[in-house]
Amino acid sequence: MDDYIKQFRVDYEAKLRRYLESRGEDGLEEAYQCGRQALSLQIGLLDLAKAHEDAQISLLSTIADLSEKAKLFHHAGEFFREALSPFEAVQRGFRETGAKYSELNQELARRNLELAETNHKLEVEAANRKNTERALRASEEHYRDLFQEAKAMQENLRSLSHRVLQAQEEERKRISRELHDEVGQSLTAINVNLTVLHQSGEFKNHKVVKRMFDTQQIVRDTMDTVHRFSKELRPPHLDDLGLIPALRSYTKTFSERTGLRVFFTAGAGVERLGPDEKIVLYRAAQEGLTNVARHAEATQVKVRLRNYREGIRLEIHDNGKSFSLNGQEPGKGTNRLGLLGMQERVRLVNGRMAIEAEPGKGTLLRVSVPFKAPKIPVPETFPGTAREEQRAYS
Amino acid sequence: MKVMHTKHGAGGGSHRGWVSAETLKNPLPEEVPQGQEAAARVPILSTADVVAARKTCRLSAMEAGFSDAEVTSIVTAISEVARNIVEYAHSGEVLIKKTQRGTRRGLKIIAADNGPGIRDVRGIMEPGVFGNRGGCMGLSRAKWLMDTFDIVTKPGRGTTITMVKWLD
Repeated sequence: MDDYIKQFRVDYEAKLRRYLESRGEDGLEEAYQCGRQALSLQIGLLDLAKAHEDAQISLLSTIADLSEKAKLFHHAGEFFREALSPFEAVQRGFRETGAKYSELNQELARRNLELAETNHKLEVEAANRKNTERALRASEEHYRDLFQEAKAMQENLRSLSHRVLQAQEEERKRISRELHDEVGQSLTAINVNLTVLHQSGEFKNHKVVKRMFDTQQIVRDTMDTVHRFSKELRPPHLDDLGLIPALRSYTKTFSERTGLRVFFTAGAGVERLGPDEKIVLYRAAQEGLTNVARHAEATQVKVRLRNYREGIRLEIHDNGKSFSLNGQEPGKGTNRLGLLGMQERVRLVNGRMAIEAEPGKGTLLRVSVPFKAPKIPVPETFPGTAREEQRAYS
Repeated sequence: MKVMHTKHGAGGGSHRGWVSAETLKNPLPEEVPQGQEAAARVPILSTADVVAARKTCRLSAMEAGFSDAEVTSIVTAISEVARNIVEYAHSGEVLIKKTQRGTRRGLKIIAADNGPGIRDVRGIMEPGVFGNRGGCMGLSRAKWLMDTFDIVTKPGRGTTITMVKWLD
């Protein structure tokens, strides 16, 4: 047995003896001190009980008188109770602390449950988001596919209209040549023959002579018409001399035919354009002037070819009614097809077309064509490019 | 600082936890209710006075009708607070008197001193703190043995402990 327990037992027995002799409050106070001491020495409750039992046996076994013995037993019990009371206090403290801990534990369990619930909700939420994301990605892919298809179709359409326009130019060239070479030659031959007949003096009847003279006049008119038509279909100067002589010639003819005063100016560098771009500008001028003659009720029109940083800009500015005044908008009405065709041609050479109409200031048609037309640009993202194109051509 | 701990919800229901209140004004209140049941007053200056306080308290508790075990508990509690006075404040007093709230009757013990006060009363009274810390440990033992335990203390301004044990 440890020394300090032995010592404690000796002390306990001495104190119990003193109490049994005096039975005063100071004795009970000593019992309580024993209990405190036991607690601080970490002597257990069972050791304390054993110390009491042994002390009791040691002190009371020699007493013969039974009633005296019973009384002493009772007082020993009082002493023991006092010694136990610090243990009682600690036990209550433990009980209370235990209750507090179990309360805290319950709270903890409740919190854990809440956490688990929240976690579950978060997981569900995360799964939902993942699904939504997947759906979004799928629809995005779907739209990308659709867009690619649309883009491919657009490209097809462009190359188709390019070929159509090219074929049209070729056809016009061919018809123009036929008209000029075949019909024109035949008419010239007819005219020469008529002149020869007229000069032969064979015909005395002045009625016949008059009829021959008239016929000659008709043939000459028809020749003019055929030549003009042929020229309009395919200006010969454009291929041989260039855009400026071709347009100068055309504006001259146009002015004579319509009575409108045409001012034509052109800057240097125009002839650097490729043949495709030149035809586009020539046709645009043709279409634009035709529209002025048809709709603008103008008295004069300025035709300008100007350099700008990347290419050549054609401007046709009349002094007539603007579109808004005569109720016509670009892309609508009788000249709609003409404008649309112009737009398509301009687009094919990567150019831009714009119409400005201001009341009292006439109408300004602007067609810009860059020098080196790269391959027809394919829009990378459909919304932005589509909008841009709309802005450019509407 | 005033700290109150009530175990069985005397009056105001279950009052667990600590309540701080105003500055300690008079650490030695003149708690002698005239015309009512007399309160027993025991000055505490030495260990002998602790025994005297125990004796007075024991008689009052037995007279009030507490069982032997409860008497032992109450006497142990007064021992703890009285020893605390002897050990840390050197002088003070305990007051023992019957008390009543509604139909409930009990015994009230007030221990007051002009000592150094307790700096970290919360720390030493917190349940779950065990270990040999002398008088401080003794105070929590007193708390556990009584039904209500109320301590008002401030460093340099003394300590007043009021505790009650209810019959039944």
